[in-house]
Amino acid sequence: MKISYGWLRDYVNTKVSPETVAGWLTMAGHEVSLIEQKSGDTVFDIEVTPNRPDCLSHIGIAREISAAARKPFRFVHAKPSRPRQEKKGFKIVRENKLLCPFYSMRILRDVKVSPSPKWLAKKISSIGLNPINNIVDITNFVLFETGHPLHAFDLDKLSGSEIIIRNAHAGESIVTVDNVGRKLTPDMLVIADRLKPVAIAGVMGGKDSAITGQTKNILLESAYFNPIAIRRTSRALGLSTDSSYRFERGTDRGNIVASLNRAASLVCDIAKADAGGFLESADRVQPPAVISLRVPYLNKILGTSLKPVEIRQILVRLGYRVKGSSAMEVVPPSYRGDTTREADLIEEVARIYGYDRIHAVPASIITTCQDDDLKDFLAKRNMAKEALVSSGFNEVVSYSLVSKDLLKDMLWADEGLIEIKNPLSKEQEIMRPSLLPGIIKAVAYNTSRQVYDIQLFELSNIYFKDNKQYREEPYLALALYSKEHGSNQKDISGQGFLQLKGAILNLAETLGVKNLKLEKTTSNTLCEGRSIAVLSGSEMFGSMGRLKDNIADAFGITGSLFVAEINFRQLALSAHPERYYKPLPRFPYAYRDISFAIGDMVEYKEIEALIKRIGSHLVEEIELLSEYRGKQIEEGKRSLAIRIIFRSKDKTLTEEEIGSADAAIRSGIEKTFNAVLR
Amino acid sequence: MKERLKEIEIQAISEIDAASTQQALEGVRTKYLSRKGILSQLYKELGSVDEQDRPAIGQGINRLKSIFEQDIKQRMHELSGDTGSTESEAFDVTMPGLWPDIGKKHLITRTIDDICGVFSRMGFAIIEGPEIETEFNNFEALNIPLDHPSRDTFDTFYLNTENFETDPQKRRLLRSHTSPVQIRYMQAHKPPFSIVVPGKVFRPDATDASHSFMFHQIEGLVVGDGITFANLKWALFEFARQYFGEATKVRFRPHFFPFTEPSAEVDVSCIICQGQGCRVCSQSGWLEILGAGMVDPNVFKKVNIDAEKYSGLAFGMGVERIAMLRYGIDDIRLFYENDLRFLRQF
Repeated sequence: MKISYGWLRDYVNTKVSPETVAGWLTMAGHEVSLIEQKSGDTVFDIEVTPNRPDCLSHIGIAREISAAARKPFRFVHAKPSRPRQEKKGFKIVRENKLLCPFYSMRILRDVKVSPSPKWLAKKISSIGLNPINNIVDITNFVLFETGHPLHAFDLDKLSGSEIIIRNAHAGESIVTVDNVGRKLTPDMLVIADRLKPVAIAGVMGGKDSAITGQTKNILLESAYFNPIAIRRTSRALGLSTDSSYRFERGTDRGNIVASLNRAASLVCDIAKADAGGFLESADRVQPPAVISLRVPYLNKILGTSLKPVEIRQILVRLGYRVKGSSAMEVVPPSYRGDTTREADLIEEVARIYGYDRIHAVPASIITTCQDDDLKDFLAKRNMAKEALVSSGFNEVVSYSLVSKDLLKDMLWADEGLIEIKNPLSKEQEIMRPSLLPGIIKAVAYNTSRQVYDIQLFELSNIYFKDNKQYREEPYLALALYSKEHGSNQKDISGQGFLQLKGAILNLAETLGVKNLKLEKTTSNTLCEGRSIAVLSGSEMFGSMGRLKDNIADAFGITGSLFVAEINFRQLALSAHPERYYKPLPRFPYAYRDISFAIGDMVEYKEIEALIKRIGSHLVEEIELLSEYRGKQIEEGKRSLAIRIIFRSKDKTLTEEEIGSADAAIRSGIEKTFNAVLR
Repeated sequence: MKERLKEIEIQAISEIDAASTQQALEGVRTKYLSRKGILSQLYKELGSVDEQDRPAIGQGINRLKSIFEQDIKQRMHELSGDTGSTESEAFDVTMPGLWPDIGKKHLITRTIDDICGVFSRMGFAIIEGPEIETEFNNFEALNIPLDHPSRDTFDTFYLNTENFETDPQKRRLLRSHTSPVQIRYMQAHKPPFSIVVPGKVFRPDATDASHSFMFHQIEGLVVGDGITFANLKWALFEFARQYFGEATKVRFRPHFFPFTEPSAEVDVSCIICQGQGCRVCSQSGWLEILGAGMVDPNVFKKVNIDAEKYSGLAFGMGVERIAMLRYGIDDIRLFYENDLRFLRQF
């Protein structure tokens, strides 16, 4: 909200610089976010918090300065230019008393609508508004002076002799002063004449009854409207005004008639009007509740040792009435509807006393343990990230909301998707049911920027509907793509596949996943013959492989992209990362290399199992040295070189023992798989 | 005997130095160090030395053995033209090193870990909670009433639940702050406790350089007997000092949050200009990084904690905002684009 420093000085007598005043306001909780010099004046942009509608005016801000800086504050007393009198023959009908507990009005006759005098136009311009005419400017002036919204009707445009405050009738509509036709619903409060609504209560007036150059007689309204009702109406219409902004935050019921009179006296002075009748219709106002404030409790919350007299001074400066000493009885002023509880008063005292004067005191240490399940999960998640990072994968964070189109690219089935009711754009329609669309998008983002050496992972939630339950589960996705700059991808040998597989094995090893199995599988998204399932025991909780080309194409990626997605909750549950020391080998090892050509149909897994079976306890480890297919090898065959590490727990193996195990393995491979040893 | 050792030492060293070929040096080695060499002979004679001198003489022979071995090895290097300090083959040490192939954690993760690490050392437990929440946990229990302007800052994504209008109990939303985890924690645990809660939050904001519909927050909560606003100031001073550096200044400004009373916005002295005033801090010297306050009694009431017996402090901060300030990042979208050239920088 814009506040003019020049205008402020009408109410609070201060000779200090605008910057100093801005500093006071900021440190009293009204952050001055901008200080502008404007035609000889200084204008503050102040962020008024939603609990302080009383500060949405110059007088409100002046009161705060006065309390914060201990400066005298001069209130403006506006007297009606004529004594109160009933306007004969005119009536206020409050049909809905709940939403409008107070309505007052004045009639002003024979006004001369004209441009505002200089001083008024200047005030209006100083806060960034355009002067319109003296009547409109006066209502705006009073709004920004006292904070109370008023509305002026052209009296001669109203039918009948009554103002009716009622709910809109079904099917009613109104053209508001901004020249927009608006449909009204029965939950909206309107001000109506005998025939039709003439204003949306507290939000905006109707065009038909607006003040024009020809206006002769005016009905000036000042009322209290229920904040919730105004807020709902304003939101339903998508129409927020200076008026609705204040009513929905709660206006000062002690200020309704004063503001009306202030405006009326200005209209009489400036627009040479004759003050007509005053009329009000109001429910009895409940006296403000007395709030107890215990000084020891205040000090206990703040960590201070303030004396009752200091507390009293602060509250009195803020306009509160205070009785008592160590146990106080406090009555707030009418404009402080936000303070209803002891906690609210404690904040007021702290705020004006100064947060910077409350000294930091170390808290007694409260050490807290994580619950076991969470602790276990978070530790494993961290281990997983460390393992992936150390194997070359970069963590990504992608949006949890995705578009339907992105899922379509992934050939994702529609079932179980969680939709967002109020997305801002198509990019936010669906909660992601998988991490893959996001991570593939990240790969595409990089390849389109000439970054071709890509290893990514994301460990985060996916979301789905399961039997009407809204679920979120931590998943892990990996993506691997590699290509030389400016060249075609060379991955024919499946290096990428094996690299990704290795990363997963390393992850499982780090986490201590028991019974991890990687088995051939088929999938909608992965290439036939290039996909494996990740299982523990018989439970499958993920898969990896080469992404189908048509999906990669849809993302604009050419070449092989290897991806994996794993249910991380399940992986973590089958992980037992605790380690126990295994004694180190005491005897030396020996190795033998075996090379052979073998039919394509024989899987490495089978060869490995055979070697282990024949070599039994002497075989410590089996390494694949190389795989070769090509010119020197018969069609349908491949050549493998395997290194076997022999070691015994009990002794140094002799040449004879190693030789005979090696020979048995060679002949086993030869016979079982019809391999040709080289 | 002692004198003899001295003589042998002088003699051997001069012979080692004098050896001009590897072969000659090998001869010296045999003379002194072989199984039938001079030192072996001395060991054999050790039995006839006085018992009290024996240890000293034994050590003396050992010493000679190690000196000779060392010197012969050194002389052998010299004779072979290999002095041990230069490589014979040409090698360009200015060639690039082989980079280890490792990845990086995302900067958001790193920032969360760093910040939570500070609080962990102060005894806080790191807690997480769900992103899909109820209206009760996200709003009501936190004293944010429906139809109150204080909800304006908490615009929220709702899930498309069945009978949305008529069945508010079953409505689900994406939490617009991490504070609902406070509610869950307080419902399930008895004070005293101190927790920090990192996590994703969602608000329907149009995306631009400084706004994102998804971002991360860290929430802190301490509840106990006699927790004060002065303690809150201490906790955040300590955090700022440890995270941003010892000289960091902290400023508390009164503010309004529905779930704390008193409430404060917390500024740290600008980490770019050290409080002198620059473009990043709009010349103010201060950067707003935290919201904080004392837990509102209405919040305690919703989770059945006795506000007469216990008090609490709470604070919250935006992870991306802090990372942007600390690492000089000027566009929040960089965090979610996942450009490797960005990710690898941190």
